[in-house]
Amino acid sequence: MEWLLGVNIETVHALEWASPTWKVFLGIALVALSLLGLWRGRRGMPKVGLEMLLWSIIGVVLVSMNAEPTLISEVGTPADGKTVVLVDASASMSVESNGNSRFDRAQDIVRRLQKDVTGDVEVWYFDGSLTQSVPSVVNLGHQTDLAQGLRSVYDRYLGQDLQGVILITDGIDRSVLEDSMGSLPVLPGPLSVIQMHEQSPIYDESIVKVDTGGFAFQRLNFEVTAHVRGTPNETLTVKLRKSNNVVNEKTVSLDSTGSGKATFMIRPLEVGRFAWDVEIPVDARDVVPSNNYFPVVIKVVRDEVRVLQVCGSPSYDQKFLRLFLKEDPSVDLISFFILRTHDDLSSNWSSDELSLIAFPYEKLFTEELETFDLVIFQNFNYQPFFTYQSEELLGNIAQYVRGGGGFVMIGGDRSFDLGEYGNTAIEDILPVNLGTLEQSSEEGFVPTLTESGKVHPLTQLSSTTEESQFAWTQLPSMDGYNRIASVKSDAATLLQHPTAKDDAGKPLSILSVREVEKGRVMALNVDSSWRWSYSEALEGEGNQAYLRFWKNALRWLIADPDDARAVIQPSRENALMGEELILTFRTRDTQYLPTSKQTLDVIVTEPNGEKQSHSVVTDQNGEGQIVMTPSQQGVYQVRAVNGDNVDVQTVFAVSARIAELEDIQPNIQLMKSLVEQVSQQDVESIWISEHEDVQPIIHNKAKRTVLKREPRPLALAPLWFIVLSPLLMAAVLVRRRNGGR
Amino acid sequence: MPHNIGYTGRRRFLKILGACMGIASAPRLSWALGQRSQFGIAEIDLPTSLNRTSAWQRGLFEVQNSTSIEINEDVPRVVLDSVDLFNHPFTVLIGNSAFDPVSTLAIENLRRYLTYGGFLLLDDASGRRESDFLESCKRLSRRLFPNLPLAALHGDHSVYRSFFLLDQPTGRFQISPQLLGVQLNTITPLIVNVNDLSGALMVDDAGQYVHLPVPDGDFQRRESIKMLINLVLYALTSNYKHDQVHVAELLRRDEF
Repeated sequence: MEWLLGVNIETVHALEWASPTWKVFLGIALVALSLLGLWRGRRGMPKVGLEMLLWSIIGVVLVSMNAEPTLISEVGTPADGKTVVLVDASASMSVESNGNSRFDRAQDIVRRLQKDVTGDVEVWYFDGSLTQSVPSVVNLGHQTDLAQGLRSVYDRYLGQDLQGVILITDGIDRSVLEDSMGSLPVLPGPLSVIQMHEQSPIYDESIVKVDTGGFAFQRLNFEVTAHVRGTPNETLTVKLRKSNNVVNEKTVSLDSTGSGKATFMIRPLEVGRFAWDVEIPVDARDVVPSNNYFPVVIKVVRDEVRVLQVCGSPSYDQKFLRLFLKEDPSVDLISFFILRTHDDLSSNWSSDELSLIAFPYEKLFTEELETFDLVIFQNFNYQPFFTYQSEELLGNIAQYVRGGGGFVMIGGDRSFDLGEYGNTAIEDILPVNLGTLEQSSEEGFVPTLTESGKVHPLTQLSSTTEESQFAWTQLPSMDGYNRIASVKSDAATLLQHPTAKDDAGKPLSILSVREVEKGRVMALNVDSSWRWSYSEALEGEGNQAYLRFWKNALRWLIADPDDARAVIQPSRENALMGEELILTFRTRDTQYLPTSKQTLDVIVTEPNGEKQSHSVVTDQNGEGQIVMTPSQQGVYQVRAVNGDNVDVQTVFAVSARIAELEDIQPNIQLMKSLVEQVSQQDVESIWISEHEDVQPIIHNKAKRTVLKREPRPLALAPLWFIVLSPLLMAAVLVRRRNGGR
Repeated sequence: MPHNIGYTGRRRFLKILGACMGIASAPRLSWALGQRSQFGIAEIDLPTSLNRTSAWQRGLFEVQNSTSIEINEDVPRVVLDSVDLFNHPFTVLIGNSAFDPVSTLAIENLRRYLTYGGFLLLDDASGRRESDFLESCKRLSRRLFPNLPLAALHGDHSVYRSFFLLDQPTGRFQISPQLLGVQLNTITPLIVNVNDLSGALMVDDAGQYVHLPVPDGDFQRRESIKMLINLVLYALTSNYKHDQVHVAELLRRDEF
């Protein structure tokens, strides 16, 4: 076989085809054309099949020869073992001493080793994985994994004897080396650990981390806890700031390990995203000033919705709404029902017999108003109570809504025009215009969804739009309605009367909504929505339609910032510097339909005050995105504007805080333990301080086998002639017997 | 359609009752958006149940006269297994003798009705402490809510202070100082009065009361009217009076 192929097959490692592709295809084409011509000339002759088969086999052999088959043989030759240098390339190596970072000093050692050590010296930099590229000091890794570095050396040099493995590190490990030392592989050479460490203790005060719980509840205290580190048994001043103003300051006594913490209580009054930052003073000796500052953004959400329900007359409609609100654990309900009016005083009951209290309207609609998220006027006429204060108190409610409050007016014989709200501050905020002469109707009807109602979140009774639309058709009829003059141009009608028209000649609105500056208003001009509660109950299916409707209404009315018509949503409130962050912009129109192809002018204000301008165009879902990689530590402010329609902003915080820089003291003990552990594996090892003139262990006798790769072309191997000769003779013989030449 | 449709009939009703009772000043005249959404009382129709429409009409007049509630003076009769039950969130069942167990369909219907906001007053007109009617009511309650007891409603229950401050329930008789009720979460949708409340309120065609309550006569009738008004207010406002703000206010008046 060796003679046939012209190669020692025991050294053969692989078969390769050396011919270029075009040459292979040219050969195939020529052979195919030849066979075709031959077949045409011999068609109809006896035994042409056998002849063609033989020529075809010859053709295949020729094509194979043309492809230049080459056997690759590998021959091992002995060589000196390598020296592997592993350099810690994590961020803690950036700590400087006298103007030189640990990494710079490690590089000096590498250069010295490359000069002094005989044989090949391969240098690898590691953080989580190995690389031969030299990282810059500003781009060092964030996750030191010493054990993985050693395992990678073992895998990469498997089967070789190394002259030595030299590990240059400060010993700060962010993985599990301490716990996994017993399972480290046996290294293929002696280990020398060159410990990077400063000769005198380094000075670093830092904010290790800030605990916030991620989010906070409106009007409830939450804690911001700053974990700090500094000189043991000394004190540290920790400041909490908001919008660059110090809001609180604490002096922390550090323990014997230099650790301490400061806890600040914050009571957020508004919902949304808000930025705070924690700061400690920067000493002139501090080697890492960047870890003395920690910005955080906290999302404040509602714990419960505080609702004021004012009802002018107890009724079924009031009863069912109160039941819903009372049974919802997320609602803190304050109800005031007018149980008795001046008209009822003729009944001659003594006030001692009555369990009635005065209606504290003045207090409610002045000092208490801001404590509510939502005010519901359910068939309530203000005049008998507010009297000469009407203008002031109704004005307070309108102002409360403009400032972000929610307001609902529900129908009845004391509501809308029947409650004489026309030409008041309440009419200004309602979605509907009042002042109609025909003020109500007792004619029953089933309201129908408008186009806006089909998509608005408030009227979604089911998980799909189709099911929701069907659900509305199944609800029972209403007992009557308050008539309205018209719907305001910036309001949306969600439910309308199937036949009745308003004064503007348009279908009469039954349910309408409107955003008034920061607040939201809903007008439901019927007093029989309670019937929706029973519509499914009588069929044994609960009261989901009623619950869903009012749950939707609550959620929409309280104007959760993430449910607003224009929203900026960062993928994270608190990001790390250098990490990718996505800002998602979402816009909807007054009908709550997604607004596509809307161009938003976006300004991103960086922590240093520089402004970056972007332009975002929304897609068919009303959404657009900016992908960015923040490069500064601090609070970023984002604002998106589109004419008068959209003006929305948010914040996110970027921290340069990386675990590597939380504790930058070199871990000498860990490295000495590593050396001891390796010694127990019968592998020679040594710990060397960078400041000592001790040479690493190098075994000059370590050998390795270098495989030499040799190509052996088969084009002229005897095998081809031995195969081709009988084939050619047989083909010619068959051809002649068939009458060919 | 003008807003005063349905108004004429009610005004006539109030005039008649006002004349009967010698009340000089008519109560506030107003209307809800449709008579069906006004507060009304419906009687449960069982083979042995009593029909006392005049008592409830008299009581509704007092409700209208004393409170801001708009009432519907019609007192229809409904059967327990009907869809119509759900059009009447306040129902009463009056009896003075045992009634047969109602059908399973009726139980399921009534349970849904009470669970999702309905209210049922069981009015024992027998004048006896442990009557057959009361036994039937207890059986009905067990079938409706097997895990919830029909228990005495003590003096701190909202039904005793939903409008008037009451010490105890009354009616034509004074048999029991406590109402019985089933507590479902925070509400009591089923209440039993064994003192014959409707008996104290019944009037004849001439507008005269049919029975003189014993032992305290007209004073007891007055208390009975207050009891009905409290039941109506409780059915509509449930534990409103127990809201913290009201408790604080009542405590300040030393009336709680």
